[in-house]
Amino acid sequence: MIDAQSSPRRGFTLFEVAISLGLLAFGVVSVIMLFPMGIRAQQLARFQLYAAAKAEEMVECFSTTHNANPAIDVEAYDAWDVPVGRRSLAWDLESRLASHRFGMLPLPLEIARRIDSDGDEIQHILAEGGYLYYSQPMATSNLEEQAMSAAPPNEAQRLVFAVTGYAQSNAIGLLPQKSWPYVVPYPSPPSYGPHKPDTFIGGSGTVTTANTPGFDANAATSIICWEANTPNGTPLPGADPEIKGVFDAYVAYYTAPKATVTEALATAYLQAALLYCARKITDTTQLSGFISPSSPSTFPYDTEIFIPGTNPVGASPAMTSLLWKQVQAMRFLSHAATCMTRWHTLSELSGAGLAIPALSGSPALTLTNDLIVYYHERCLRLAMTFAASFPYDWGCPRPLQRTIMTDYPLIEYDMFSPPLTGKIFSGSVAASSIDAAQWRPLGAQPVQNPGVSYQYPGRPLPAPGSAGDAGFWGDRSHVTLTRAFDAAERCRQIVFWAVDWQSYEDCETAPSAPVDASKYPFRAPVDGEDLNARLNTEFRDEQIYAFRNPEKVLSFSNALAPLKDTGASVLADELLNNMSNSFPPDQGSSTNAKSVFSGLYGGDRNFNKVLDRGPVPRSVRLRAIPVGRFNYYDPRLTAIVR
Amino acid sequence: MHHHRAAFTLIEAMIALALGLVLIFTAASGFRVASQAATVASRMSLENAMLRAGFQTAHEQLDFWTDIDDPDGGPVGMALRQRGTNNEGGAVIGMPFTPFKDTWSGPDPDPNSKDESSLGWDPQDRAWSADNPRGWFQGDMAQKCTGGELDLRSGRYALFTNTADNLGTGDFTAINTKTYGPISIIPHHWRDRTVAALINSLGFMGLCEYLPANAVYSLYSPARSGGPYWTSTDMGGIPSWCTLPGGSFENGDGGQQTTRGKYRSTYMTSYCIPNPAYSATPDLLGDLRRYYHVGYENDAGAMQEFDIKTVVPAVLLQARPTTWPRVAVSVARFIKNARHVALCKVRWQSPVTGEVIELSFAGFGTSLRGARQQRQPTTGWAAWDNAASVPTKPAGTFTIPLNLDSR
Repeated sequence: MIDAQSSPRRGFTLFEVAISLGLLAFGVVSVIMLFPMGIRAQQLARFQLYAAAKAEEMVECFSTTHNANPAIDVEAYDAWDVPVGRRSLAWDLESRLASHRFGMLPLPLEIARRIDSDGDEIQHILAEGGYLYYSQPMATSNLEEQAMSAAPPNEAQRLVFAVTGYAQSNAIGLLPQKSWPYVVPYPSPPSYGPHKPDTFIGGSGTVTTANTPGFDANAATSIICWEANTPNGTPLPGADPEIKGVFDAYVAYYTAPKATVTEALATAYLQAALLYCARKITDTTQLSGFISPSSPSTFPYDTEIFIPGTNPVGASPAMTSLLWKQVQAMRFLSHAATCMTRWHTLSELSGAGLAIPALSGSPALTLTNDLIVYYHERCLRLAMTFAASFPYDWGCPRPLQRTIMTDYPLIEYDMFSPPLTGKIFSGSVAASSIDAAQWRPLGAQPVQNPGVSYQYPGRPLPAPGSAGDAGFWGDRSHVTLTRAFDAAERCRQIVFWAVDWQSYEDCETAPSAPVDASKYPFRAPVDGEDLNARLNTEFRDEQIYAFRNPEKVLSFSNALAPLKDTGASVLADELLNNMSNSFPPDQGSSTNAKSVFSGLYGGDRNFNKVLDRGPVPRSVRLRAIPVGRFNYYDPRLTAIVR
Repeated sequence: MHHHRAAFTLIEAMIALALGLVLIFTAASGFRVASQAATVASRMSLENAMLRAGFQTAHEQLDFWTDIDDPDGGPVGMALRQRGTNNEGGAVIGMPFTPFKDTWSGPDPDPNSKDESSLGWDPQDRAWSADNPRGWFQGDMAQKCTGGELDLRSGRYALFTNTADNLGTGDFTAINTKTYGPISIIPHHWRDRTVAALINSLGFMGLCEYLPANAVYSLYSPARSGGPYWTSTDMGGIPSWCTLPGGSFENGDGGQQTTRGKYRSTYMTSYCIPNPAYSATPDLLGDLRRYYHVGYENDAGAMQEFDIKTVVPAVLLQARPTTWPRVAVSVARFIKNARHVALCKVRWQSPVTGEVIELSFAGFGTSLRGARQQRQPTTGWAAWDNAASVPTKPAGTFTIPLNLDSR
């Protein structure tokens, strides 16, 4: 037995103390390491808020921003000869918003490739041809950036994001071969416009009237009435050579100088419109009821808007193909008849009325105020009813007074048939040598009376089922726009990460991400203009939002800007906006212009008006922290909320 | 018994001292880092809370417009409910939150009616039904505000549509000494009267909010040549404000002299709803009836003025501790490129460094029409339309809670 008092009293050995201290230090360090996690949690919470705001803004902007790029050619007889036939105007979120005004700017590829993420998701997106985006520093307000002051520091720029999931194949918003719908006021004369007198005009509706009041006083242009044009005068549904008589009479009246214009010219216009009515409505009884009903002031519009017997309810395509004639006939007749109110008083147009004599086959008419009001009323109702009832019958333009969604028929590209192929136009058809292809257009229903386009009436669209149909339209068994679908098919995702990419030394000097080629605005084919001339078109800065480099506003306009000292002002180096009719530095065929267009010199990516360089060398890889994911509906149709 | 008590050797003491110092240093560093981390986390937590509050406040304003009109805020909170008189012509004019009953007379019309003679706004969705002819523009889209060479060449469209029930001889412009009327029956009135009443009642942005998306911004009224901007018309009876380039409604872009739509009127310029308190003596009626040049070829002065007029700043927690960040929220409402923008800005300033950081975003919110229907005509909030005891007006073909659109 050992006596406790006699046992030796020993302290901890040094080894034991060291172990104890080690354990203590481990514990302390472990606790200390928890504190930065709290900071990270707060940072993540903040970025999640930024991401929520950004996602809301993106969907708001996508849903409410109009598709207005009015300073761009939209028609060519081959889809590849205008930029609208490509990705630039696709109704997909990233295509719409990756522009210099709507908030999504592609992160320079050089920087994006240095960023790691969970599952290497960012690099997978880049490898598939996608972009990593950052938020533009200014609010997406549509306001012109030219006079904006420097943006305050914007932490949300540390967010990067991408759109995942594949976009649906969209309906065609603008069909290059004919940018339908054509919209005109009702009533109105035959529609017309200036056109270069080249080989693309063709047809019978052309007049050459330079320096005429009311028309473009440009001797280099002709005035073309596309509705009347047919190639070589050959009748073609939707392009009606009989309109030429109405047009010529209208031009004679409308363009006469104020001092010499006469009532006789107005009467001749009315007679031409009456003749057109007689040619379109060949049944004399129907014609009489159409142009001079027995009681115009009590005409039953609600039941007899179309001539009885031609009522469209349940009508066959052949029958509906007759209805456009009534719409057009009343459109011209109403316009011509109303012109007479400039020349006569109510009392002259009451009672016995005004006698309009027959002329060259036009019916005689006694014109009254009641008839004029009836023409107007029936004209509008015919146009509205036709437009709402027959979105695939292009026999007459849509009414400007009430543009509605169904003015845009459902047309998509047929991706399961061989594409149309040809050459990119360069000066002449014979001189064109660069191969091109585009999918065939395909309507949910066959397009009736496609007619000709305003820009290229010499190259008419074949009607489905016609001899030329197989060479142009897609296979109707491939229509998908009207098929049922699962919600998941139209679900895409906006994915956000946080990474301080602006800490890179080249955050503002790295070149822009490669610009989608379809964002380069170019002209439609013009006789004698080679491809280079077509590419050297005017950039109407304020009217082509979907085109040019998405970083355009921030981009540097010269090679010296990225060589400046850190912190130096770049106020004079930003491309920003340009005055109308100016020649912005990114326009043209010079090497510098191409470099500016492509964003080769970098840009003021935080819009603080000075050149920034971060402390992190480009050899360092940064890791992006996942912040959030937001699902959204990917529409296939062009759709804008109010 | 001898008991030997040995002291630490120098080596042991030094090692112990070193270990002790390491321990103290580690602990001190740890506590310092922990303290800093706790401070940063605490500050970030506070900032995030303030930021969330700002974000939430912005959304409340997007939904309820209380920064512009507070139904419980007394006269100051409801400054945009005033009524005035147009200096030119004497018409009663209002503001975006002026009750229609104060600017418009007559009963609410039947929304399903094709009645052309009814006066004023129809508060139900079928007011502008696309198949109802009374909502179609019946005029001449090519009619110019100056006659020039064309001198009403296409005829007199005032015969088809007009604000007036009938037109006298003097309501037509004489051409070659001939006038047209008098005429007693004009088929269409509803659209012209409604457009005229909307612009008088609400101002320019209110008009854009209430008209259908693709509306034609024009109407016909009795022809009046010369005279002030608001009372004159072109030869055919289209009021000058609809067509005159560089007036106060239509900008001078391209010198266009004809009737336009919303895109053309708002891609160079913008209409807005001003901050009712942007100045001690704001000209709100005037500010609501002009455009702002914030599109192409603008200048810094115009942008600055627009910013001052449109930004409605609200500072959160005015009585906050001085160590808390200052957070201000604003929502600016305007139309640009036909897009109705509600631009939110949450801006906070560090109490430590003074640094200012901003979160800006364009948000989804209630339209002006929706905001008006949230409010009672006098004070307070309107009832939901499915509430048990909804005050209705009028008792008749339909019922709707009493709100600013009711008459």
